[in-house]
Amino acid sequence: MAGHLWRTAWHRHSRFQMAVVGLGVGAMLGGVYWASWEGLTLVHRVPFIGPLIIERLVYLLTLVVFCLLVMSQALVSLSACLRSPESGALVATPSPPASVFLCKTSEATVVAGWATAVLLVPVLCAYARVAGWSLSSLVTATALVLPYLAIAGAVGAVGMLSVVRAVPRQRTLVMWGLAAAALRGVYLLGRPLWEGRTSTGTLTQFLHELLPSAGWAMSPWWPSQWLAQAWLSLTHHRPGEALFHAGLLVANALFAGWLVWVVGHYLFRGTYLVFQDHAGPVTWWSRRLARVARGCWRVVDGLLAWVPQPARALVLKDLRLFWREPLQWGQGLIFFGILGLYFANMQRMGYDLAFAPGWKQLVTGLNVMATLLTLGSLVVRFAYPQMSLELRCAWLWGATPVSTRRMLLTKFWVHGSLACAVTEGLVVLSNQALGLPAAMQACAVVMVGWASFALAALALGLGACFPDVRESDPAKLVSSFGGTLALVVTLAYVGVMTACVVVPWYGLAAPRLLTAQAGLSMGGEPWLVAGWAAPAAAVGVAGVASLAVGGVPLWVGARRLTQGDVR
Amino acid sequence: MSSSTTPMILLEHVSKRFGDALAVADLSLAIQPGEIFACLGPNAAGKTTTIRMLVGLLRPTAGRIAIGGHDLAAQPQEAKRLLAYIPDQPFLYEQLTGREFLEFVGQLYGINGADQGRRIEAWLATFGLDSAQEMLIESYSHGMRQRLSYCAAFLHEPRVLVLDEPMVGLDPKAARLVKEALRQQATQDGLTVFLSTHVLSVAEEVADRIGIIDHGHLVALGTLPELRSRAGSTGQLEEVFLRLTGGAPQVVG
Repeated sequence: MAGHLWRTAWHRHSRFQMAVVGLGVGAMLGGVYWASWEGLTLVHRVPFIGPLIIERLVYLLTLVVFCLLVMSQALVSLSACLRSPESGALVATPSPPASVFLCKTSEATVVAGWATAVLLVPVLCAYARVAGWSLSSLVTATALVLPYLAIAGAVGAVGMLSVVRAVPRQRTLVMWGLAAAALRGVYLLGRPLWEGRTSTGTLTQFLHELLPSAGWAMSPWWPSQWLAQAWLSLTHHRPGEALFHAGLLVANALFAGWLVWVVGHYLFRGTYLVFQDHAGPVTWWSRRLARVARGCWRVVDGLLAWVPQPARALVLKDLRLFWREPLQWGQGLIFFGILGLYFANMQRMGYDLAFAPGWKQLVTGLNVMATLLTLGSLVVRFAYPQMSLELRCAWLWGATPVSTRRMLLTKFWVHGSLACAVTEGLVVLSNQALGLPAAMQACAVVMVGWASFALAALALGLGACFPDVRESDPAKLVSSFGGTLALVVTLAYVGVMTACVVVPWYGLAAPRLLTAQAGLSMGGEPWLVAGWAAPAAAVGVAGVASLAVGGVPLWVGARRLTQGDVR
Repeated sequence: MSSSTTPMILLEHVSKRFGDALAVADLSLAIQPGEIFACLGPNAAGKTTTIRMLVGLLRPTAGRIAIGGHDLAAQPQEAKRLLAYIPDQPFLYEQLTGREFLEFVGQLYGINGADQGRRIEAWLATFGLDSAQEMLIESYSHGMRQRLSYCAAFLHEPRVLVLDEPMVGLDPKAARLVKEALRQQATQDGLTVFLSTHVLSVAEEVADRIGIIDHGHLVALGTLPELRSRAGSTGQLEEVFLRLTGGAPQVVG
């Protein structure tokens, strides 16, 4: 069967596409392994307490991944169980609803969890090397990820079904709930800065802050704790304890499967029918909400008055569609929110006071990389399919005076501006928290601004170069050759931009920073090596890379739209 | 139907080739303002390809297309301002309400303000969608989506309306509404209609002239009496159509 699937894939997809995918995945996994190895080795070398910090990090990592998996599973389950045409066809058959729900939940678990499993492998390999695991321990530890994923999948799916069943106007309430969560997140983000909380910057205080925070991740009620404990038991050569926690994971994974079956039996069919009732009961508060929503859109239209028609119509339409797809901005909210919370709390961990020469500069580079990687993955996921989906409306576009080229450029400005607003906010937050020199802050802000527009142009341009009007599922569009190419180029480009931040400010400056710290100043600002040459060159390289990565696909895509047929 | 020296739709020796396959071969047609023209043909005859070339979604391999005297290749924006097009299965933005979709279409054609509101209200009422205008399109039935497409098409008061299978998904009441709207617009406002259909009764009821396409070639053109005379038949259009396109298929067994 596997051989048949491989042969089918080999013949269906181009060899070039498979080679690109293979190289990209290999490079990514290699990069994750290298970064994990470097980070774990660095921490492990901290005198006396390095291994203790690593243990805490294992608990935190497994808990954070578990929470993200549950949220991701909930979103994927919503599509797979309640929105897919296949579910509708299955509900109409005599198949037991419990079977349908279990089947779709399993499918959603694989979809939501496979990437996590793949990414955990290089991290585990790096940890295995640091901890001195045998090969059998590594294989066992990797295998234990499967029941961990199953539990997260079940929790996410059951939670999603319960929420949808309980909420009559799910879309509106979910959106308002997410908006309220976003406001709360902004408050949490800003509070450390508003209150001017800072640390003394000593290692002792850093550990004093970190270690208790990790304590709640060690609660035995978390499934993530069972996985973490199993791994740590292997590290400490306690096979009995490892076996116990492995058994705990497997037993609870089986229980989770049973729970999915029971919940599906009692809730799935009714929830499916409620979900199909798009209108829902019309109450006074739903009418009031609808009036408020219309008023809000009139305000937005007024704010866009400076944009000429028909571009304003295009922008308003895209904003409405974006707002009414919580899956899109919800994921952005989660990932950018996590980054924002981390950046805002860096002062509490003493990042603003250097532990080592160049530490702040290095952290800045890593923060820029994390921000751009998050943006890149979200932009490819949501912006790349846009042109294919719009061209399905070709009956509308083709017959209007508005050209598809104009539509593409309008989308570029909308996506780029939104991306820029979010990423610049995060980078400014990071710069402020670290207390960077003004010159470095300015360079980081300029580079991230360019990168935001470049990534938007790359995704949209490649989407216009490789449109597929026959496919309506955005996830399948992203997994096509064009989407894969967009992802690979995004990763390479983010690497280049990160290097442009890190190399001149950290790589070249570290020796001078060390000298300055030792009181042997050589004059001038320590982070400026050979005057402004290195930073200026880095900014230049970033500009050229941004123009190439963003400008070329956008130009080619626009040309293709102007010249090509829409089948 | 009025005669004019400038046809509203003009196809001159239009051909379309997809690789080695010739979808449309040397098609020449002139449709006058206010005329309703029905294009009939078997499956894969080239009707939809012709329509897509007419509205600018496909480029002809050879030949020239003009809408209202504007060459579609040289003056696409001017030509498209006169056009409205409804495919057999119009894809709509499911997360917009019906009203938002019409406002969007109106703004694309430069209709704003009070005029836009008046037109939207009028067409929503005409096609019976006024009570559903604030609902998301994803909750619309297929027939409602078709009717919304008609509202969008008529909103900017086009001079030329191109329809591909106009009756798909419409109930008898809605189908009657569409036929009456087409006749009224053609007679009173000089709207030129180019439609393709498999439903021969639609062509019989509304079309001023009928063209029959088979294997990319225009095999017959004329009014219904003219086609009957050519086919040597006095029967229904179905009989005429089958005679002109190779006869009825034989049932085996």
